[in-house]
Order: sequence, then C-alpha cells, then structure tokens
Amino acid sequence: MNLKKQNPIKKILSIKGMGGAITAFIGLVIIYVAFGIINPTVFSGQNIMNLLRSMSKYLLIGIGQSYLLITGNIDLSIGSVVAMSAMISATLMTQGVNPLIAILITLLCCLIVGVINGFLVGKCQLPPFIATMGTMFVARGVAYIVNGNRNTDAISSGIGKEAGESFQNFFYYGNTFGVYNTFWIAIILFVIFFFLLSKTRTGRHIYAIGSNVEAAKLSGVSVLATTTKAYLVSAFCSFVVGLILCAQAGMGNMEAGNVYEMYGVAAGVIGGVSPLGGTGILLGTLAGAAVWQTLENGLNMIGAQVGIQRLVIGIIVVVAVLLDVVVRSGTFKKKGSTKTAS
Amino acid sequence: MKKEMLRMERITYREQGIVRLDNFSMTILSGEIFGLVPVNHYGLETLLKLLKQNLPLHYGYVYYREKEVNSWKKPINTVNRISVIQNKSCLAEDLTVADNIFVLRGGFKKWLIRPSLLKKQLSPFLSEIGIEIDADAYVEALTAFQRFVVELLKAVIAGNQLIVLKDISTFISESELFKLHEIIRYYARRGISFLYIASHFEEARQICDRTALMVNGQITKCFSAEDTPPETFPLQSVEDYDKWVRTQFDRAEEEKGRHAIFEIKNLFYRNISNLNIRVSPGECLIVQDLDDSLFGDLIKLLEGEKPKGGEILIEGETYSRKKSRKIGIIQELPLETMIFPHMSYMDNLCFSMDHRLRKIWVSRGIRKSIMQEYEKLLGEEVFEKKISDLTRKEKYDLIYTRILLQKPGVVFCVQPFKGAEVDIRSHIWELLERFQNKGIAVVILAVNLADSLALADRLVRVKHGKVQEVYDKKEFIKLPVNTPWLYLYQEKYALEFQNEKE
Repeated sequence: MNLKKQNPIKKILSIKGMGGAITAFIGLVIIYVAFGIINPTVFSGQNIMNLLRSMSKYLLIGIGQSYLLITGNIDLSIGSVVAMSAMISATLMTQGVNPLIAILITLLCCLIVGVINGFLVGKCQLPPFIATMGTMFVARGVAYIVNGNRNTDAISSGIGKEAGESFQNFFYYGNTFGVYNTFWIAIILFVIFFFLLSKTRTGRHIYAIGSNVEAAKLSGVSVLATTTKAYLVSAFCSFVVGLILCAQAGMGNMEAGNVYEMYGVAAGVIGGVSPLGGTGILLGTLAGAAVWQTLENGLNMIGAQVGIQRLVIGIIVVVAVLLDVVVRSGTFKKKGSTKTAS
Repeated sequence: MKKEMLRMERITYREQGIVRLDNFSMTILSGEIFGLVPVNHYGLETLLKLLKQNLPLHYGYVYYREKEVNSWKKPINTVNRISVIQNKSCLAEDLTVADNIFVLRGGFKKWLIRPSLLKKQLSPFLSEIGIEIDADAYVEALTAFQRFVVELLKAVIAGNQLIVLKDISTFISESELFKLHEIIRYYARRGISFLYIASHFEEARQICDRTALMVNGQITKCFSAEDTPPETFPLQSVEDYDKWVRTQFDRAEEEKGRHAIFEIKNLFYRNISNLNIRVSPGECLIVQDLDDSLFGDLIKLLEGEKPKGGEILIEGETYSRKKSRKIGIIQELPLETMIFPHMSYMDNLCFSMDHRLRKIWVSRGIRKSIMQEYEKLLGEEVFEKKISDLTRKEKYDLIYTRILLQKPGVVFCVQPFKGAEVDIRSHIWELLERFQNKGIAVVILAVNLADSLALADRLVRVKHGKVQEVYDKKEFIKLPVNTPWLYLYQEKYALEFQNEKE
C-alpha cells in the first residue's frame, strides 16, 4: 500500500495547517536570532524565562480563539471574560472566600458566558461578530459591577498573606523545573486542547463545521452543541488567563484583558489558522503566540517605540491573513496560457 | 429565410494547453429553440464561457446576430449579450423583482428609482406570458420557477436575443416545466433564440426545433424535430449506457424486505401536509415533487427539526436528532455540498462512522484497517490525494462510501443525477445499488424522473406536501410523462398491463 512507503516528512507536511505552523516557527527563529544579534540580552536565560511566561497568556487566548476561528466563528468577548475572571476571583478572595471556591465560582461564571455565546451563534444564528460583541460589553459590565466600579484591594487582604502568595506563585511567580508555572499551565492546557482538537470526535466536528457546515449538519453533527463546545473552550481559556492576570497583579483590575481577543486572533492567524474556517492546528497557534511575544519583547529590547511595535505586528498579521487568502484562492498557482494560432 | 442568431464555426479552444472544444460548429437561427445534449460534460462549461465572452481562440470564428464577434485571427475579448440561466441564480437575493429586472441592467441610467414606475413597466411583460409575480417581492421569497421567469424576463428586457437554458428540468417541477415551455415558445415566436441544454434527448425533443448531441467537445449528430430517430434510443454514443440500464432493469427483480425500515405517518410541517411514506430495507423509492415544495422541509426534518404533527419512524422508533446517523442524506450536487474540502480523504471517509467506532480518531490502526479494506473499492492512490485533486468519480465514491460506512437504515438522495454526465450517472447508479445490496433502503427525491426510474421499485408523486399518486414498478407504464427508459417498462409490462385491462 502506498501509505506505508510514504516519507515521514512528507506525511507531516501533508497535515492541513502544518505549512502555516512551520512557516510561523521558521519566522520565529529568524525574528529571535535577528533581535539577539542586535541585542544579545535577548538570548539571556532570564529573558527566555520571561518570554515563555508572557507568551503563555497569548497562547491560552490563542487556543480559545483558534477553536472558534476553525469553526468559522470568532469570539470578541475573550478580553472581557478575562477581566470578569480576574475581578470575580479577586473580589471573592478579598472577601475571604477560599481561593479554590473562588476559582470554581469564577469558572462557572465564565462558562456561562461561553454557553450564552454558543446559544446565540449556534441556536439563534446570530452573526458571531455581533453576538460576541454583545457579550463582550456584558462581561465587561460584570467586571465593573462586581466590585462596585473599582479595582479590588490586594487579594492577600482577604485570604491572608500566605494563601495570597500561594495563589500568586501557583499562577504566576512560582516555577517548576526552572520554568515559570504560567508556562507549564499553558503547555498542559495546550496538550489537552491539542488532543481534543486532533484526536477526538468533537475535534473533527469542529473542523467539519468550519469546512462545510451544511455537509456537517447532513452528517448528523449538532452545530449548536459543537459551536457551544468551542465557545466553552474559549471561555475556559479566558478564565485561566484572568486568574493569571489576577495572580500577576495580586488584585483584580477592571481593565484587565483589554483587546486580548485581538491578540488571540493574531496568534491564530500568524500560526496558519484560517480566519475563514476549516483549517489550522494548535501547533501553529503556539508558534503564532511565540512570534507575537518575541516581536513585542525584541522590539522592546532594542528600544523601538510602542507605535513602531504596533505597526510591525499589525503588518505581520495582515501579511499572514493575506497569505491564507492567497493559498486558498490558489492565486499563486501557475496560470495556463490560452494559446492562439500563429 | 430565417436569419442566423449565432454561428460558431470550426472553433478550437484550449484551456491551460488542453483542447476543450475541438472543431466545434453550431448554428442557431433566429427564433429557434436549439437543443444540446452533452453526453459528457467535456467542453460544456467552456462553450458557455465562449458564448458570453469572446476569448482568444486557437482557431475558428464566432458570429452573433450575423456579425463577426470573435475570430482566431484577431481576438477582441468583448462580451456578448447572451444570458445563461441555470440552477445557480444570477439574481440579487435581497433586491426586489423590479430592481433585478430594470435597475441591475447595463442600460439603466436613471439616478432616481421610482418603484411604482418600474412596477408599471413590468406589468405588460408579465401579462403577455400570463404569469403573476409581485414586482415588489424580494427575490429570496420567490419559488424556483418564479426566479426562473424573472431571469428570463431580465434577459428579454435587456434585449438579449440568445438565451441559454441549462438543465432547467432539474430544478423546476413537471407542471412548471410545461408552463415554461409555453413561455419559451412565445418568445421564440418573437424572434428570440434559445439554446436548451438538457441531460436527456427525450426532454430536449419535447420542445426543441433541432437537437444536437455533444461528445468530447464536439457536436457529433444533429436531429431536426421531423427526423425520426432510427432506433428506440438513437444516440449511439450512449448505447452502452442504454444496454447497461436494460441489464440492471432485468436484474432488479429480487424480493425486497416487506417490513418498513423508515416510515412517515401523517406528517405536517411547513409545506408538508399529511404526508405518508414508507420504505422497506433494500427498496428503492422515488419521491417526485410535483410543485417543488417538499425537499427543503423534508431535509430539515431529517436534520432533527420537530414536525408540527405526525411522526417519523426509523426501525419502528420515533426519529430524533440522536438517531440521525440511522439516516443517510446525500444532498443535490454532492460534490459541492457533501465534501469537507479542508479535511483529508480519510477524515472525509470516516467522518460519519464515529458513532460506530468511538476510538476511530485516536486509533490509527482502525483507520488503517478501513483503508486496507476499502482500497480495492476506492483505489490505492486516493488516500494520499488532496480533496481538491480528486476526480469527480473519486469524489462521488468518497461521498457514497462515507454513507455506506455510516451504515444507515435508509439513504435519502436529493436529485442524485443532477449535473452528472453519462458515465458518472451510471456510476451513481452502481453506488446506489451498493446501498440496496447491503439492505439499505434508498429514497430518491427527484423533480424529474430521468435516470431514477429504472432503479425504482415504487414511485410516489407528491403535490402540495401530500401524496397524490403511488405507482408500483409494474404501473410505471401508466405514467403520464415522457421520460427516458419508459419504453423499457412498456416493453416489459405492456402485455401484463393489457391483460389486466381486459
């Protein structure tokens, strides 16, 4: 059988979305080395550690957004859910609630937003842009209301210094095997969601909905259930990022997670996840998040202005999407010529 | 003597180095309805493209309204005022009928649009063909037939003298087709010419003044209306297909299961009103929609929507979304509607069997064994191909085998032969028979009976969402329509029918 003889490299490259992921990884190496040559501090161990920790937030946000992009949808409420998560958990902890219980309550609230998004898009057929824009404002509103329109006090003021530090160490400042816990959390979740997307029935349904929703329906796929699952993944990732931000600041900030939804889109599309749905792998999102963070970090290290940083990142996102559109439409394919008789 | 509307003279046209039209010649006279039966679809799309646009030719000349519009000597790349009407509507869905007909027209120069004036202008056009359509109605709210009429009127009002009609019998019902033929004849009498492209010779002959046969990008034969076809089925190039149909027809006499695997009882839902249908394992049932109102609603119900009244039973139990894998659905034009273009071949193939093999997406071994089992049937190479690189036949194989792996009790096929060329049609036939051989009931939802009839054990004709007539195989001879292979039933059952009558 032909498949037995197939070259393993060719086999890996034949995976849909792998091309985008590999391109992003190559881009990452080039960017990193280039910044390192300009400023060797980029290669320092501490910088790498910081880079991995900062990247973790974008990776988690990217995972959630990639799930939705693959289904052909989008989630604009991610940033607000991050803020909601940070504010609810911090408010509860400042009031002395056990961190574990606070986390569970926060998780429940975030998942409710995911369910609402799934229902509005999957059942009510609202355009995802509009539906999630609505929940974006609602979630941000909740983040404001939960502590009476002000940021919370330090969480240690409610649960005690020791518990507060444990919480902060677990999610942000602590490290395991020399790498910050934030990175480990992100990587564990990455592995779980990677498995879910590539090896399970739900994963196939997610791809199918993005690829051909009508065919998926005819094959017995519940669009509502699958869309809701994708929004739940997104809400869960936002919840975790919210906790990370809360741990980082040691308090709840109402403005936490601002425009994070766009960082998620950027991480996805830079890594080859198609904003038109149907293609992309989470490995690409990992590379996309790394590219994004390396750019931010590198431009910062070489002393580029914030405006320049935004400009460069914006251009890269547009080029990545342009590449996707070009590949899909086959514009680069050699056009055959129609010959006329001479 | 009639004027020439279109003359294509010895056209040879290449696309990406491949000859699509080879020494193609065709003449359509003014006011003529010219039939074209493509035995295979090779070159057909190119022909349509060349009719609309004067692209650089390898050799040949094109004359439209007796003027040379294209020549291999000096390519002009202009556009001809010829309309093509086919299943895919060219109308703007969110605009009104009047907007589509008058405003979206090259010659419309007015800055201010007055709907009442447009309505008035449209009214005589509608009344002369005896059709009532509200000028203010949105196109999306129109039926397929009304859309067709709007497209036709748009072409006529735009002053296009040649109108191409492609496979229209596949999307409008029999009675509507009859009405449409009258409209076409009316405009033909007024000097407008038509190129009527149909899958079957019998259909084209019902209306066309002349009918030509197109094979591999060439016209091989042309019959005028007066010509008597030399044999029962005159098209030599599809003789094999005809023979094959006969063989299949004789073979399909085996006993089918008697108990119902799928049943619809007193069903009410939108346009469906008290519908009753039952089908047994291995049986092939055709459900013919006489007024184009059934399929959309029925598919919605099969996707899991709840009916307003009545029930749907599968294997004796009430059908629900949870049991959706017990029913296979193959939509019309499946190459566009049933494939996941971004997924791999194996993912496409195994997509709807994960209810049977839960670990299929985790275990490579399972997928490998499926691959080994089906490589004889599907070919070894297909598993490595990209979906976009598959041939049409391979895509059909993929879709039908996917449903086979799903192991449903019944398969619903919406117009399975629509848009398929002859060799693909016979292949679809084989694929449908594969279902039957496995004991899976096949329900073909059809607008016209061409191709489906020879495979059918029973025919149910539905109008206004209700069963109007039921024909058993032996009663097909009584069918009030001219359809391909009806003569087979006439040959086989005429005597029996005669005796019964006496």
